[in-house]
Amino acid sequence: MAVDELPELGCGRTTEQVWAGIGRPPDQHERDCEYCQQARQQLALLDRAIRSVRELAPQTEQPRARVKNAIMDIARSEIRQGRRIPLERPGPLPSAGSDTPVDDAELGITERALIAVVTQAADRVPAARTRHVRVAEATRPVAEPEPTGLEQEPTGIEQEPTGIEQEPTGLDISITASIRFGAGVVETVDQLRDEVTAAIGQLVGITVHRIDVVVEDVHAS
Amino acid sequence: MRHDITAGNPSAAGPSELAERLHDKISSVPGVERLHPTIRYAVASVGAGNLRAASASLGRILGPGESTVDAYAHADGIVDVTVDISTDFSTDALAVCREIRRVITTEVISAGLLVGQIRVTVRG
Repeated sequence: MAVDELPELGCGRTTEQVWAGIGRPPDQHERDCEYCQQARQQLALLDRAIRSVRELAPQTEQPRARVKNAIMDIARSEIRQGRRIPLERPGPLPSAGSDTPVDDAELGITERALIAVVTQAADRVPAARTRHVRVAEATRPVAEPEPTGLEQEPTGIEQEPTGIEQEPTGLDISITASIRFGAGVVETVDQLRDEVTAAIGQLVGITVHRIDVVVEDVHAS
Repeated sequence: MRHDITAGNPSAAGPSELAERLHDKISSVPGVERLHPTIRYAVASVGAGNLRAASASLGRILGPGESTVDAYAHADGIVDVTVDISTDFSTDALAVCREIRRVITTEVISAGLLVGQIRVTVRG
């Protein structure tokens, strides 16, 4: 496969380019790019796994090119999936080996699968053409403790965030679309929101927290 | 200690049968289009000095319509199962995942093993 045919991340870099930088600090682009940060995170796990296999089995012969290519194919595929978003929250863990382990199950869906659901739903709006979709899990800080009246007076110096725990509130969805010339923008955007909200609710069961729609173009009918 | 019961472990014939049975049962859950290999499965297949088997195995799981279930048995008989799937767009993904969880639980228990962690992911 030629380098210019390699699948790209959302920013345009390939998995191979990011892989080549594992083991050194991120460059300027990687520091600012969420796609590269995520890919680096996942590829670092792969790198550690490979190293641990080598340490466990130092006598193992080097994998053949076909094996390497197969692993990189799976790695590329996994990275393109994006983050994993829980479909339901696990409950309290059961005792090990319980015959009723249902609360220990993790059911999830990848961002890429969610994007496919959103895109398919948005395509049902005749006056809209979807161009780009992003999804992210929305969170909010876990409720702060009630004030006791013993708090310190403000010092005027802004405090650094102290790693406040976050809890999920649903999905934030961002859609960029083109709208047919002559169609009402507000009505079309409302239809997009309705279709997407219904599809996510029916097919995935995750609460939609927010849908941002950007109309960036108008197309002829 | 963990044993790979998915592939490349000829001494674990019983659990390997379980992994194959899970693959068949999960594939036939309504709404499941296909199962995907996971990177953990791929790396595990390369380990244990079993590269020739891994090569054949990876070739098999990457072929069209072929895949596997990532299943590990702890030494105490508890089995963890990880499976990545694609679903039919017209079906409720959460309901499909819950059915897969039920199938895995039933199959593991009927094999005389104990259910550990189950991880099901819908991929795009």
